Amino acid sequence: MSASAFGPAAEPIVVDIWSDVVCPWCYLGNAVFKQAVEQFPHGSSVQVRYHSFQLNPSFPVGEAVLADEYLAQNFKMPKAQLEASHAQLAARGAEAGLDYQFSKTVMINTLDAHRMIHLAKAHGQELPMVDRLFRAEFTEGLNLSDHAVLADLAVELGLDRAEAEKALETKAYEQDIRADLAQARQLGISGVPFFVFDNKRGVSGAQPIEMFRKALDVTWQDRAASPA
Amino acid sequence: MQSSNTETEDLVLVDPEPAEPVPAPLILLEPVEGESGMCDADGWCN
Repeated sequence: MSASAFGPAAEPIVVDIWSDVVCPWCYLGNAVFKQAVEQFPHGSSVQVRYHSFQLNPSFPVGEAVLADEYLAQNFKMPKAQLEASHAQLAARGAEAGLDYQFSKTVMINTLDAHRMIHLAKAHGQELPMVDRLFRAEFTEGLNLSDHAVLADLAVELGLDRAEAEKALETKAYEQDIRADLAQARQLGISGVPFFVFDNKRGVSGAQPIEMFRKALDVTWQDRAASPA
Repeated sequence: MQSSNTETEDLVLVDPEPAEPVPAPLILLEPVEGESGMCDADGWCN
């Protein structure tokens, strides 16, 4: 008898992902996790929900500096160490089909970018928006604190420019973003990316695909084993 | 000794806010040894 014959397994596996658009590991984790879902035999029964997390929430809103300069200044990271770290991540990214361009990446306050994710979610475009923002940040080096840039990306995904601009001007979705951050604190999440499977199992960091497959398999087995 | 009823009548009992349910602790799948593959809240990525 297959697992899908059990009642509970008919319900989708819910995966809650906390991430930030300026988090390079989140870009990789997002890509690898998606590959794991594609390989998972019950991939069509996986529902993904993104949640906001902010690295550097105190970074001045509207400002943008090259991420390398920010890291060098704030963490006193030697240039050679920074370049080695970038090269390692870029190589792993390339394996997952990502093109990291760290020399162009900028550090910003991501609150407005999170507003766009929540706006997109309201229109069923949450996952495409997350993907688009990551590519804009790490491959194209766009300034995601610039409202015009964010509105352009929203339009690209078929959203209404005026609605996107209004969401940014009125600081919309503040409550949703705060709720995501509060939930992260409650779960003890202190870094991202962080993946929660069916509110039960957690995976921290951009782990290899095998780890995500294992998490999906075990969660599916949990579903099949639990009474209807 | 004379007591005043006025003060006690003004008291309004307020039910305490219901405590938010605390989620069950997550079962963490053991990460692969080596780099954490994550960025901390202060922006440090390793």
